[in-house]
Amino acid sequence: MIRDITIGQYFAGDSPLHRCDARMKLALTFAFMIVIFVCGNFFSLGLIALAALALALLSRVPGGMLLRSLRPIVMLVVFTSVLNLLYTTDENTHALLQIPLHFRGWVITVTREGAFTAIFTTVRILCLLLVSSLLTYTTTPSMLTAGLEHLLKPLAKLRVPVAAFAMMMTLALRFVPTLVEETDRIMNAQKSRGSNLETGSLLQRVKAFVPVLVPLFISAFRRAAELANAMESRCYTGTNERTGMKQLRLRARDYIALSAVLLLLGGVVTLNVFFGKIV
Amino acid sequence: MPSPLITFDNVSFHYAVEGESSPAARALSFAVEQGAFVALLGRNGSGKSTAAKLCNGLLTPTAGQVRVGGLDTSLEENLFEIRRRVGMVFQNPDNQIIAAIVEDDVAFGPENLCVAPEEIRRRVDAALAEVGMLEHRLAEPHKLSGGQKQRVAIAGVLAMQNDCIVLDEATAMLDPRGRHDVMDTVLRLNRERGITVLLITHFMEEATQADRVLVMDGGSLALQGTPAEVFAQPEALRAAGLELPAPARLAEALRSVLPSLPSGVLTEEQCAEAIAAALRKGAGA
Repeated sequence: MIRDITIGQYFAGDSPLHRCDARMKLALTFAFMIVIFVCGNFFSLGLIALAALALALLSRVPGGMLLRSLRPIVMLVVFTSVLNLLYTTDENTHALLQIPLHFRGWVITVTREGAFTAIFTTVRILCLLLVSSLLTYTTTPSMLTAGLEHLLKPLAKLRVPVAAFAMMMTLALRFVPTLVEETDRIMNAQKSRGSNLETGSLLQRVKAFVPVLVPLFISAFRRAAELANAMESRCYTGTNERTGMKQLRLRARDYIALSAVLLLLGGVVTLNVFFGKIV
Repeated sequence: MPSPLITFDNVSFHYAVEGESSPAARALSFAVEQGAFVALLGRNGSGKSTAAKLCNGLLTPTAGQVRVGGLDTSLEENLFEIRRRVGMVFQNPDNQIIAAIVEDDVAFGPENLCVAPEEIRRRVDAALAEVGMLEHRLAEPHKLSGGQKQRVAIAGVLAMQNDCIVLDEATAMLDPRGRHDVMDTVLRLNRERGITVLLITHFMEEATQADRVLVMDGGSLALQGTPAEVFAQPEALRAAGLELPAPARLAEALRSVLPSLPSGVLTEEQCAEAIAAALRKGAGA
C-alpha cells in the first residue's frame, strides 16, 4: 500500500492550467496572492473569488480534492473569524448583537464591522489557499523544481547556489518514497522483535520510535554516500555548467494567462478606487 | 591487438581505517582491452569493488597507477574525461537513480556533459530503447522492479556514450529473471555495439560468458585466463573462496561414474551435450 504513494498532491490531467509553463504559473500564483491583498472592498473581493473559482473549474481538478486541500485551514479560519467578530469594537461601529454574560457585567458585542471583517478575511484566506493548491495540483514536483530554478537564476549572480538547491530538491523528491518504504520495513522488523509502536502514552510511543529512527538515519547516510558516488561517476561535479533535456518554453497560452492576471489586477484596483476601501 | 582501455599497473590501495591497515588491493596489474568482456570474480572482501572504484577515479591508488585510455586517474583534471569514458553501474539500484522520472534520470549524465537539449532527447530515447525500457520512460523509478531499475541505470550510462561499462555487482540484488534481463542487455551491448564491459560479480555463471576472467583474492589477482582455463582449476578457485559454475560442478561429480566426461564444461548446454556424449560412449563400450 505504501508503494503507491505519490509525492506532493499533483493531479494528473491535461487542462489549460496543466499545460501552462511552470515558471509562469509560479510567478502568476505569486501575483494573484498580491492581488488578493490589494483588494479593499467587497466588490473587488467578489471579482477575485469569481476569478479563483473560474481557475478551479478550468483546472478540472475534482471539487472534492480541492475541498480536502482546504481542510487543514478550517481551524485557522474559525479562529480568525471569532477574533474578528469579538474584537472589532470602537466608537464608530454599529452593534448587531449584544449578549450579556451576567458575569462582572461583561457583554459580548458583535458589530456589523466585525462581521464584515470576519467574512472578508475568510474569503481572502480561502482564495489564497485555493490558488496555491491549484498550482501544486496542476504542476508536477519536478516541473515545480525546474520552474523555481529558472525563476531564481538571477540570484546565482549573488553567489546563491540556486542549481545546487534545485538538485537537492530533486533528490529529496526522488528519495521520499524510498525512505517511506524503508521506514515501513524497519518498523516491521522492530515489531517482529516485539517492540510496541502503536499503544501506550505519547511519551512511550515517542520512545518506542527511537529504534526505528536510528537505523533509518544510518541507512540514509549510507544511501547518500552511494548516491554521491553514482552522481560523480556520471560526471556531476556540483559546480560545472549543466544543460537540461526539458526546456521550459513560454507559449501563447502563458501570455494569455499573464494578461488575464494583469486584467484582474486592473479590475481590482479600479473597483478599489471606485467604491473606496473599507478594509 | 586491440589497445588496452583500462590498465592497472602495480596498483595498491589502503582504506584509511584507524588501527588496521589491510590493503584492499595489492600489486594489481591487469588490462582491459577495448571491446573486451572481462569478468572480475572474487568472494566478499576480496577487493573487487575497490578495483571497480579505482577504474573511474572514485578511489585513487595508494601506490601504482590506473590509466583509462592513457589518462592517469590520480590527476583531478583527467577525472571528467575518464568518467565520460567509463560508466559505472552499482549494486543497489535504489541508490543510483537520481531523478523521480525514468527519462529525467537517463538525461542526468548528458546534462552534466552539457549536451544540447535536442541531442539529449535523442540519446535518452535511443538508450532507453536499447535496454528495452522505452515504454517505461515516464514511470517513477520506485515503482519499477530491480531488474528494470538496473536497466535504467545502464541506459543512463549509454546516454553518455561511454566506451566502457563497469558493473559493480550490478546483479547481486536481483531475482533470477532480473539478473537474466540485465546480463542479456550487457552481452548484447558488448557483442553488437562493441562496448567494453568489466563485469564484477560473484555469480560464476555470469563469468562463463566473458572473454576473459580475473579472479581476485585478498586484494590481489589469484587467477586469470579464459573461462575454460580458469574453471579448469577447481582447487585454485576453492582456495580463493569460490565454487565452479553449477554445470561444471555437476560434471565433476559425475566423473566418478562417467570417466570420459571432459573438464571445462561451463554452460548448461555444454554440460547436457557432454553427458549425452559420455553416455553414448559408455553404451557403445
